[in-house]
Amino acid sequence: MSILAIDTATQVSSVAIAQAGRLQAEITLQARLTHSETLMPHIQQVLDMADTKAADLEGIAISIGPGSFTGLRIGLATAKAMCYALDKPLVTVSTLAALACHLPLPGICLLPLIDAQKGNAYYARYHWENGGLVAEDEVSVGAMADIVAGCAAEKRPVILLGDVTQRRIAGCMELPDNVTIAPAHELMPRAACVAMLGLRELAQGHTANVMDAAPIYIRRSEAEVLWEKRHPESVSTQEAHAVLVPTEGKS
Amino acid sequence: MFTCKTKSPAETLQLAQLVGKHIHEGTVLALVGDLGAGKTLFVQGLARTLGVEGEVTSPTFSLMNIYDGICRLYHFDLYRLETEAELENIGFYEYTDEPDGIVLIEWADKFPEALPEEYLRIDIERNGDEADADERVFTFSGVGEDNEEFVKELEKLVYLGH
Repeated sequence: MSILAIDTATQVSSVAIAQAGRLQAEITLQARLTHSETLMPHIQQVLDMADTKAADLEGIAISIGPGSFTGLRIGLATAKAMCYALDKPLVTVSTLAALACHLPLPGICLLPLIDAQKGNAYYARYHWENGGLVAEDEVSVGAMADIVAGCAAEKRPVILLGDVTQRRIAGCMELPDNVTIAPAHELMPRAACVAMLGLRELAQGHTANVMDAAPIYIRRSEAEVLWEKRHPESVSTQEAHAVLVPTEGKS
Repeated sequence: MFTCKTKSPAETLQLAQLVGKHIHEGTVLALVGDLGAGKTLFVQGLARTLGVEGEVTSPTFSLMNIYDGICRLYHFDLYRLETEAELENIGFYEYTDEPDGIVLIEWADKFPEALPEEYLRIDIERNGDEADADERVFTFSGVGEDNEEFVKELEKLVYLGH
């Protein structure tokens, strides 16, 4: 039994059909196209390529964010509508966790960074342990430059992934010695990873409610926004440090 | 910053065409003016010049229209929005942060804090005189180095052309 996976959290549009232990087909594009125009035709194509009927799917996995507001809503609305019409279970997968599946290497801190605009990024740290992915913290928002600088306090290699790594960090920013950037073909989300995590969620019965599942939007509180306006010089640096830099290493 | 006048909608279209011929991809253009000032007319002239063929109308209810011309145009109308937080709901900053085309924002002055660090601003005002109901005063100003340069360039073009 196969599942369909969708990732439209960034400017990449990716769809995949997979079953346990096997990726059957995937279409991944990073082009200046609108997700709303390409997604349904790609789903049709990937189903055809995998010789799978929509009615025979076991479920649908969606990359739930954080990410582009517009992209996430196009992906989730599509997944929900298909699940509802076909009466299939919906599973949600963190966009950041799916990115961390690109490099399943032990002993390394994987740090996916997704654009939160105005120099900010959504981020969370991950590592691989005994063949499993471990999330080290909750998803946060912080100033990109501070998140990257904060990596210097890590006592292990850090690999950066995600759309802002591609657009704003690679070649634009000085990196601490222990920090590297993932290879270009691993930087952006792929539905194959969403499918693999989704299959596991589905096997464990972790399904979402088709009627009220919502994308992960992380916003700064009104208070933070107001503080920033009144203190333009101190743009949310503390938030990033609070999570990434251990207190003892801060001095 | 400079100011110029148009005496009719046709002249406003001509001015928009002039701006359209020279505007750079990646520009955010803030349009400020009362109802009926001619913001949408200006966008229409600009869009035609940039090769947009379909209908161009104010996205008062859809909030944003996307047009494909020689580059992509994102046309916002913020008239109906009440709070700045609503801009996050429509993914506004995803379009204004290093835009991949040209971003046109009507009623941009409603949320001045939401505008990017660099943008081009056009204020459109009526003359106030009943006898010249079709006359409009355009004020061009640039925020950020590139936009300031562009406004200087436009000033020369406008006064050479008129």
